[in-house]
Amino acid sequence: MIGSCEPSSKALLWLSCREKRCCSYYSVAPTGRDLWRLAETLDVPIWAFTVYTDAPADAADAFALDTSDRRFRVVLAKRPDEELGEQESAPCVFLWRLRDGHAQCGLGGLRPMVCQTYPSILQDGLLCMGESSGCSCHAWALSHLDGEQETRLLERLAGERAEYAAVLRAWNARVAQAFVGRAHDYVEFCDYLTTAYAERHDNLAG
Amino acid sequence: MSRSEHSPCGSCQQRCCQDYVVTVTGYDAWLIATQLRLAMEQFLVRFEPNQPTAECFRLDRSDRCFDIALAKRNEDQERAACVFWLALPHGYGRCGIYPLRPLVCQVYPTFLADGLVHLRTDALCPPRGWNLARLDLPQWRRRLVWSRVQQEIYRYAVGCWNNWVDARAQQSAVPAGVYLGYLTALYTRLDEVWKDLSPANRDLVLDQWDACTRTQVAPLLASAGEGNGEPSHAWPELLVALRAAVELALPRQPAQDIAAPRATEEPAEAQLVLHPIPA
Repeated sequence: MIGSCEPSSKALLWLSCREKRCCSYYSVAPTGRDLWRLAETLDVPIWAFTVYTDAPADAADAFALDTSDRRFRVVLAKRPDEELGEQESAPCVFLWRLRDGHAQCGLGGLRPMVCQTYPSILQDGLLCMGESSGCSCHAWALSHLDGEQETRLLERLAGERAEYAAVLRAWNARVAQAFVGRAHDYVEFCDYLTTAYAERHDNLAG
Repeated sequence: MSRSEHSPCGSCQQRCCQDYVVTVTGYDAWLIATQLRLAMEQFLVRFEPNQPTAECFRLDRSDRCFDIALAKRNEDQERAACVFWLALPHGYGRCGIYPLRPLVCQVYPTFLADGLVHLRTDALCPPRGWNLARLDLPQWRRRLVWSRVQQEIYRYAVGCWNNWVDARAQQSAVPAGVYLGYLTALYTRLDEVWKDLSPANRDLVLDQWDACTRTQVAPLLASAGEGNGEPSHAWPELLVALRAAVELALPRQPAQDIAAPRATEEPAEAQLVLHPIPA
């Protein structure tokens, strides 16, 4: 799913990284728009490449499946280790290894915004380097980035997160209004996300 | 492929990405390598086919010749998934380089005969999975013509390479990396040649190329003016530029003149074939 545009200097550094430990070290929590974009492009339902994990109740990207206080978060699935089974440190399901062991993201330009912006963050509007303890081949520096381009990406990520939070608030309100004991399953939730984003897309296009 | 077009790939078991050995042209290898910033060695394997083809290159003056194919995830297994295969949970799977996938994958399971798009009868796709009536045929046809053009350019390039190997003063084998370096240099030059063509001229020369191959004339091997139809001025210029690019990309050295390859067989459609990579 690689895009064919000219990569930035940051993307070149990332492409040349052999291990791509960030793709194993972290659980990647995409925005709803990332999920919808992936599902649309790959023609695969959201539940087929994600799992849900426990999340703090006050997290902006937390969703409910029943009227209890339990909240969850969508993360990209991990590739189960053949010997060790499913592990937190297992590689992302979209990561592949080439003949010489070099790791490559199969999503390329389609990868979630949080992956594209890693490891930079916006702190009170200021572009900074965030925690990048997963990196093994070099230490990231601001000089590796195109400041304007990176800031635009981070602002877009913030916008997508705000949009996702609104979509989830609507879902959570719907779940809360259901009679006590009524539980939704994850597939239902994924279908809701797909429909919600498709409607938003159609409204924008129309 | 547009999403509105009928395609059975989304719900298929994707055997084509596992059962076939995906042989590639130099163009495919160059495109993947440059777009993904990879060394060709990272995703290609070299193998000796049972039956040598016009895409087989030699590294010395012996009869041993090789072809290149996409590597498999597990190179010990004949039916392992392609190195670019993304296996997703719940039995889903997708090509990880879809926009860059080799031409032979892009045109599968169709082929061109007498200028018409046909479906392969030996395809691994679900029975009656494809319906020609529901395909965007002009788009498929353009893709097939482009694939054929690239295949013929590659055959010409391989022929020139093999002649260069024969003309070398040294007896020792050329390292395989030199061949891949030749492909990189060649297709970087060819990219410039194609970029120099306006979209209108590009369409014209592709039509001209298609007309030639329908009459079994391989344009790069034919003399000037041979072929069907009224050639545009871009046509002879393109052929000269393509031949020059190949000549310039060859490693420096030969003592003797390098002969252009001769046409030895009819142009044939590149197709995915089932055969194992020898260990």
